[in-house]
Amino acid sequence: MTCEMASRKRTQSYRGRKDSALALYYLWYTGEVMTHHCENFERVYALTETVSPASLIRESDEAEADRFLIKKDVSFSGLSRPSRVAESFRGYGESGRATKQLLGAMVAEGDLIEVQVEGWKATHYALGSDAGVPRELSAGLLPQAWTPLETTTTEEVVFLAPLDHVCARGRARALFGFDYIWEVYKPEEQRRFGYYTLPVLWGDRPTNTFVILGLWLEDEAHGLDEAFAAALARGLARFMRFLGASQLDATAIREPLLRQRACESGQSRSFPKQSDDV
Amino acid sequence: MIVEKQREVSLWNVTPAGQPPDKVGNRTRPAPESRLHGTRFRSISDWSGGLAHQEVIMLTITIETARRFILGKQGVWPGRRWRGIAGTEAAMRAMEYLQLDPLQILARSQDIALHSRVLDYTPGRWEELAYQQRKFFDWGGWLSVRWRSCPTFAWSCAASAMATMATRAFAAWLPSMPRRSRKCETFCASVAP
Repeated sequence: MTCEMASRKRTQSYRGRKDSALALYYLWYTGEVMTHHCENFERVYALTETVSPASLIRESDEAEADRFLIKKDVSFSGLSRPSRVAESFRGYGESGRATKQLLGAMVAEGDLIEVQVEGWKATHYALGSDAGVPRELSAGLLPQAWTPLETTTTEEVVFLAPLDHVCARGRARALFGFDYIWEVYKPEEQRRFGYYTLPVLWGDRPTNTFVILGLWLEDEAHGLDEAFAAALARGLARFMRFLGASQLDATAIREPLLRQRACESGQSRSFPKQSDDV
Repeated sequence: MIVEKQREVSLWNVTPAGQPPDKVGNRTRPAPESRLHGTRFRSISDWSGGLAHQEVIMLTITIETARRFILGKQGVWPGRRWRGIAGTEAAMRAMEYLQLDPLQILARSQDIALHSRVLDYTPGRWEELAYQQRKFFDWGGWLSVRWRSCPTFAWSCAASAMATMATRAFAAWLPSMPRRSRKCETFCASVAP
C-alpha cells in the first residue's frame, strides 16, 4: 500500500502531497497500518496484522500506556526533565495536575527516581532500575556492561550523529556547555559553522565540531595535544571506513599537528569499502 | 577515574499503619535523626495491600556524573561496546529510539548514530532488524524506530507535544476519533525474552 493507491486531491501538508498519502499517514500513526519496508526512504505500508506478530498486538488501558511511555521516554533521556516527561503522557484535555499525580505515583512506587544535578535548576527523573549506575559512576566505577570492546573514546574520538539524542536539540548546551545546531536546514547566512557539522566526542566531552572541510576547536590547546591528535586520527580512520572513503582531504584543518596526524592516518590505511571488509 | 562527592538523601512515604497514602506522590522527609550518611534508607510501610517496602529516592550528582550517565546509557561512552548484528540490536535497545532522517550527506544520521556505538556497523543494517527481522518498527510524528513500544498507539499519545506538529493536518479529525490504546509488548520479547 503506498500513497499511489488512491491519488485524489493535492495538499500542502508537510506529510504528503496527496490526501491519500495523508490518510495513509494517519492510519500509520494510529496503528491501523505499519511500515512493511521502505523504498528510497518512502514507506510501503501494510495492515498491522500482516506485519506485527499477532501475539504482540493487544489493547491496553490508558494508564498502562501512559506509564509505559513515560518509562520509555525517561530511559531514552537517561535524565529527563519533568516537562519533557509530561510530553510523553499529556494528551488533549489532560491536566498538568494529572501528570504530576502519575509521576508522583511512579516515584513513590520506585519506577522512577528523582535526581538533582548540581547546577541544574529542575529536578530530573531517572528510571528506578538505573539508580545504581550514577552511584557507581560517582564512586569512579564503570558498569561492567559498559566496558568497551576495543578503544575508549579517550583513545579514539567518536563522531556523533546530527540527530543523536545526546547532543541534538540543545542537549549539547545542557550537557557539555557547548552549542551544537545541525545547520543543514538553516539559511546559509545564519549558519555559524556550516551546512553539515558533526560533534566530536573525545573522552566524555565533545571538544569541537567537525565539518568535512573544517575543524573548529573548543579548546585551542587541543591543537597541540598529541593524545587528541592520535585519537582524532583513529576516529577519522574508522569513520572513513564506515563511509567507504578512500582519501582524506585534511587541508582545511588549520592545526599542523592535527592535520599531520589525520593525513598519516589516511595514508597508512587502505580504507577498503565496507563491503570489502571481512 | 573520577572520585567525586555524592550526597544522597532518601525520602519515602510515611503513612499510618493500615492506611494507603492519602495522596499520590505525597512524600515526607525523614526526621533528621533518622538520616544515615552515605546509605540508602528503606522504610517498611505496612498498609494493607500496599507495597511492603516503600522507598523514594532523591539522588544528587555532579554534572560530570550526569554526563557520563547519559552518554553511557545511550551507549556512546566510554567506547563502542557492541559488535555485529546482535550488537546493533542491543545498541538500538539501549538507545530506545533511533531518529530517522532521509538526508544523506556523509551518511544518514541514524547510520552515523549506530556507527558511533557499534564496532563494525555498516549503513542500513538497522533496516534489516526493522523490516526483515521485525524486531523494531518505525513510529511517530517524528520518524523513529522504537522497540518495546506500540505499533498501534494511544490516542492521547498521538497528541503529545512531539507529535502535534506532525499531526496538525489531522487535528480536526482527532476529537472525533475513538479514544483507544493498543499496545504490543515488544517485538524483541518474542525472540529474546
